[in-house]
Amino acid sequence: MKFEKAGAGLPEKERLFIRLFLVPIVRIAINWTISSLLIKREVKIIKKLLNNISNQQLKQKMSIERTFAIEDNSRQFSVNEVLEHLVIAGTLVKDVIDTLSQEKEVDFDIKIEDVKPKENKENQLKDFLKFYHNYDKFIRNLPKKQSKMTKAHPWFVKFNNFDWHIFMFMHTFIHRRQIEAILNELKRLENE
Amino acid sequence: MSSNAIGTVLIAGFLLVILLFGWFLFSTSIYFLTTIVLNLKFSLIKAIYLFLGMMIVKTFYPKNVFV
Repeated sequence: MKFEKAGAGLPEKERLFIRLFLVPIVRIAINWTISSLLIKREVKIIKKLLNNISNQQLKQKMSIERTFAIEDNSRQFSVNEVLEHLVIAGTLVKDVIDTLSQEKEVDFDIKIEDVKPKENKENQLKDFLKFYHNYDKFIRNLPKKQSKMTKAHPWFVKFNNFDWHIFMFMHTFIHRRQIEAILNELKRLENE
Repeated sequence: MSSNAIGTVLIAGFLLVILLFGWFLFSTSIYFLTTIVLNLKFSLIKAIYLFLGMMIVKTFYPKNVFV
């Protein structure tokens, strides 16, 4: 099966729906604390979902139907690759939040193709849980002041530190849904 | 759109409705307490205006996210 190249982006209608509707509403409905709680909830759900999944299945690349807010190129990931992507992208977002919180300019480019998974290694869940634990600690110690400095997301609008924290929740949520789609596909294959 | 994608949009929509309702309860509770303390008449219309006002402030402060 052929997939679009990494960084090709979302279908225009979906991108505009997120940019003009979802982002503004999410921004007014969520605050720092709610976002942190929702991120923790997503991590718990992911941990529970992967409880009884074998290492082989976690590494198995699956071709799934495109899920919401996931670009075509990411339809071929294994569960481990989704987790790896969450760690790579999350680390970048953490750096961006840290820089913006100090009202400094983010001097590196954010490219979707740079946050794609590379390894598909075992024990990715451990790295994932460790990262989110550190991220939570980082946010707890961060002064909850919205920065004037911003850094644009490649697909959406300019985000300040607070927006990036909310993005972390939305990003984890949509990839949790992707993991569910992969697990459903694995189950379907198993039953065939 | 796949069923997973539709489910994601529905979950997100449901979550947002719950959160917005939570903010409505929050602003209405403060308004309700104010009416008790200041011995004013409680008006649901005013509570809705207060909630909308809070949402507008949250939307445009500290910047316009539509830009």
